[in-house]
Amino acid sequence: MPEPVSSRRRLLTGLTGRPGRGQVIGAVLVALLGFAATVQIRLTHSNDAFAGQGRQDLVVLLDSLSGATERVQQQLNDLQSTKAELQSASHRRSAAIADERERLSTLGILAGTLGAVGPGVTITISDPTQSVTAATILNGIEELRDAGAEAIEIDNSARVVASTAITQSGQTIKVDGKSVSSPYVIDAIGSAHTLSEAVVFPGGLSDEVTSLGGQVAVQEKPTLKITALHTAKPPQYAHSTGP
Amino acid sequence: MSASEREYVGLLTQVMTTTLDEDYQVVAARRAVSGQSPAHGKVRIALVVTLLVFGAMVGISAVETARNAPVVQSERADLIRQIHLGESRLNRMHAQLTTLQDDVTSLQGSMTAAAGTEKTLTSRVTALAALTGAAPVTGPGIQVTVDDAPGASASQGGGIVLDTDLQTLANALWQSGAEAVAINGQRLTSLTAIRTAGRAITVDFHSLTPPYVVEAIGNPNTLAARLLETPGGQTWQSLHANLGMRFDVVSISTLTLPASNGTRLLHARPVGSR
Repeated sequence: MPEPVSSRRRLLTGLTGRPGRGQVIGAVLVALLGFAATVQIRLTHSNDAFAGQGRQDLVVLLDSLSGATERVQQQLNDLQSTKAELQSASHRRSAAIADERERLSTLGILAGTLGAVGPGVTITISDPTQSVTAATILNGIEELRDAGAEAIEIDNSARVVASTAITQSGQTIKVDGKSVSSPYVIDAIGSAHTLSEAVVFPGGLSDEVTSLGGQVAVQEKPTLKITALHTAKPPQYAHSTGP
Repeated sequence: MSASEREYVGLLTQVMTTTLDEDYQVVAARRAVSGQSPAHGKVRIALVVTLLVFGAMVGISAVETARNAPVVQSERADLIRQIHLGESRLNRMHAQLTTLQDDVTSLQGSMTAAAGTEKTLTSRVTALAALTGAAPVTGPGIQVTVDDAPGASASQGGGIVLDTDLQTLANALWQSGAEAVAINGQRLTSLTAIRTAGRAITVDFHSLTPPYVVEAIGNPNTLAARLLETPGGQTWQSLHANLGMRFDVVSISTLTLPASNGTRLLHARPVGSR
């Protein structure tokens, strides 16, 4: 019966000595198992953020994703139609504003609150004998209006509008209370040729002034600027009832 | 170590100093004496079988995994690819949503601003339209009716209402503070001419037939009196007194004058507008 070896000695021998055949086989098997397990795990869960989620989880996720997409698409559609409505409303409003601006400038010219530019005539009435009266000027204005004058001023200072009264005190002719004096210079915007024809038409302003001992000169201008303004007082009695 | 000795050794000491190994050693030594080799025969066969089974299991599992992998893997990859596509689509849609919301907000803002602009413009247009004859107006005023003298004829030259007579009357009404004037329903604007054309007087190129009804809106307390004081009013009083021409002035509490339909400009453009 051999001397029993101490347990410490045997452990040391087991660790440092040549491994037995059984130990080698065991080591190879354990290594193989480890390798196989690693490969299996890596094959199954190789991908990304979805590790640990099964096929069913992924299908559910995909479904909820398409549900969310559908809701957002609905929102997009709603917003798109809202935007389209707003755009067309905005275009209509812009057009309405452009129309209002256009109308306002037309009315401003008619009311004499805006300066005006356009073709026209400058009529110079010389009255050395002081025979021209307010009635002569008034008739001349009516002739110009009849010939399509769109804006009229006298002596670059008095704008003639619908409510303009041409009056006379003594020898002084007044346009809405503003004195004007010979030579009277009348600027009128409109068709230059038509306006000029109207003035020199037989029996017209030119003839009338000539018969009174004065002279009329008409100058056609491709561009004429009328800068005299009428101060429009807001009406106190006439109330607008229409557009 | 004899059995008698053992009895005197404490249990703990025994555990510390002796191990089970020693018992195995004893068995091994006994086996060596009896000539038996360790793990021979049945034990060896069992070991080989166990190893074979284990190897077969590992092999089968590896083959199985390798064969199933492409199918499971491709289905899974497909799902994941779809999820990725869906997510990036959703992200794009969210970005679109934000852009659209911004667009809608800014459009709403500009609409509000435009509404304010339009309101301002409209009130200015309304005010100017009343003044210029572009809109119908209502208010108190006077009605002046004038006509040729009874039995008067153009050939005799007297007692006939001429365009200049109506011009004088309109001019006198403006001078008296009238805010709006119409003759036989034709509103006077800055474009309106009162002219004789052929045998008739025209206002805004409409031929009028007598009597001529001139309506003027203005201060009901002063309009009529002031008219009679103006040179034009006095001219008409003398036409009435000397030639028998009709000249009637009455106050009307509510007059309604129509809009002129000729307030379009062909040549004049605004200058110095804002």
